[in-house]
Amino acid sequence: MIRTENLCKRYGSFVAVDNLNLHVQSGEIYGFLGPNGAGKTTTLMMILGIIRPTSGRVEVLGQPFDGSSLALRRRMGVVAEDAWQYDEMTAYEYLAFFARLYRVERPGPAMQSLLERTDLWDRRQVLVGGYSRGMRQKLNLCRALLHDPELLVLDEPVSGLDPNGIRQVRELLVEENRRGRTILLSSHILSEIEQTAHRVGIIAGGRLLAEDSVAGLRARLGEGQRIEVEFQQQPVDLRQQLEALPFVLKVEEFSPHRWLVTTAPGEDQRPSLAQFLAGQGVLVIGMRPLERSLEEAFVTLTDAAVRSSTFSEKSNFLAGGSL
Amino acid sequence: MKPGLQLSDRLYAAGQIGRRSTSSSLYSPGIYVVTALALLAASTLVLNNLAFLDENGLLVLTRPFFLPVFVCTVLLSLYLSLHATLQLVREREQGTLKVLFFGPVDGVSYLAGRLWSQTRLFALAGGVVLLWAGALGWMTNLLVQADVLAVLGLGLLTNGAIVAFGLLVGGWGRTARTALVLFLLALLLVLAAQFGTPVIEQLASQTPANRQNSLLYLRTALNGLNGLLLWLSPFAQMSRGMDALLVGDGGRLLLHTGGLLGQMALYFAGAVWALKRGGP
Repeated sequence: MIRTENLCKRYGSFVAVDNLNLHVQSGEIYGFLGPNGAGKTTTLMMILGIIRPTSGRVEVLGQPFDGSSLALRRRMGVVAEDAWQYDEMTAYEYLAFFARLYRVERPGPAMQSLLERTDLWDRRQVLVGGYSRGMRQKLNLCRALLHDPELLVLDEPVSGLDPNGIRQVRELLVEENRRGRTILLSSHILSEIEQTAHRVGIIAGGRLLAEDSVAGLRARLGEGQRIEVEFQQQPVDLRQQLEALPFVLKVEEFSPHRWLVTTAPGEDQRPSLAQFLAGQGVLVIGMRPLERSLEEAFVTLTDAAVRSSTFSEKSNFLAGGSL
Repeated sequence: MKPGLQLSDRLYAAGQIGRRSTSSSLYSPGIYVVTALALLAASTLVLNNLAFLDENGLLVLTRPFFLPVFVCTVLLSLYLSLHATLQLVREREQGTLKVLFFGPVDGVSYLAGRLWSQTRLFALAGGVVLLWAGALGWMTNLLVQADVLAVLGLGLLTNGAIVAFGLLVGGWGRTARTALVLFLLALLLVLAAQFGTPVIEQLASQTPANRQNSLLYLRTALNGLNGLLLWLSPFAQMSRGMDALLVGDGGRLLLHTGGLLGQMALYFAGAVWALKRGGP
């Protein structure tokens, strides 16, 4: 659906995007993550043909795209990070203008359905200038979906939304994806990406550090099972004893009575751990495995990228190794 | 991509942009105020002629409405051009231009839409000017001939060229202030060349021969600039086109009509290039 080949953008000596090879597959929600200034928006603008790449190639909807094909543009829906709208128009007029521009055949029902789904129907006759940032963002989403595009490109679509608005947009995106729409979603809200994206690309310093499913990224973070253990009393040298166990890799203390034990990969070590602790006279209150979060993957990857100017970890990571 | 499909897409998008722009302009007071001011200025010129006629009992003026219509054209097209410049810069500053460019709109269709909108507004105002001329001619018995329509036609092309120039300035200037300064500088250059040359010529003729050198140098420079502006300034082309109409020289009229079309195409192409270079 979207493919970039060795995409580069340089501003003088500054490299904003460096040899980026991105691949968004048809029918998926692709989360595009990166810290501020990583090159996310520049990449999206090059994909959309707004910024001309210094070198490299972009393919959209199976065709080479440099922004000049108006017919291809009509098959995409775009929401930018900033909510740029005509303040002097009402929400309804705004959508009606874009419906005409995109040649939407029966705009009325489509507009009503979208405005209702985003809770804007009752305020459709209010000037956009009087809208809050969150409402503007939802209106942008309506505009992007109005012409039933095959591909949605969203740059920070939940920026400025309250928790209800975020949930509403998340549900809308998942629903649109179920209808077959491919979505490229750039966001800094990791929980959003974690809950919606099928695959994730992480960018830092203009380079793609990883591209995988959320589960795949978690798995690559490190080996072993992480178990949170909560207890009430323990012998003085419990930590040393635990670390001496052959299946325990690491012990970290969240608090005096809540520890994180990382065990060797393979079988579930909770029964062995519980048995050992009971043998030591420890009163265990709770024990649960902890999943590695996307946030951890993001922080680990981007920190590593910042630390290493040569990005030597990247090749290791992309090859499937752990950090 | 078939070229025909791209052209029809562009024409359609230009039509929609133009429609929105026209409707937005018709709901704001600017065009009405400027049309009223232009008619006021034109009426003053006609009244001056009548006062002259009243005093002297004789007025030899074959086309009493040519100059008033020319004045209306200058004022209206300057306003519409500046309006187009500021609209373009504003859309760019607000980011709404980028949103349009996400969709089926590109530089050519956007600028064509703006040009189409300003042309339609001029045509509407031109219609009012025509009605005014007819009414005033009927009240004063001054002759309103059919070639006033030809002057308005030249005015329409002049307006197109001036608006295209305004779009070029808007495409070039990144902020409203820069665009405004560029626009005013260009206007000053035209005025300086057009009105500066006779002033310098007069000064040179009144200055002793041994002190004339610098003035003569300035006069030569202004003459050169004037010659260049004849081909760059739409107003100069229109003025010469009107002269051709007065003497009934169809060839020259065609030449200056072509000149106006050429200027419009040149400035429009420059505006497309500037917008492409600077991005939305």
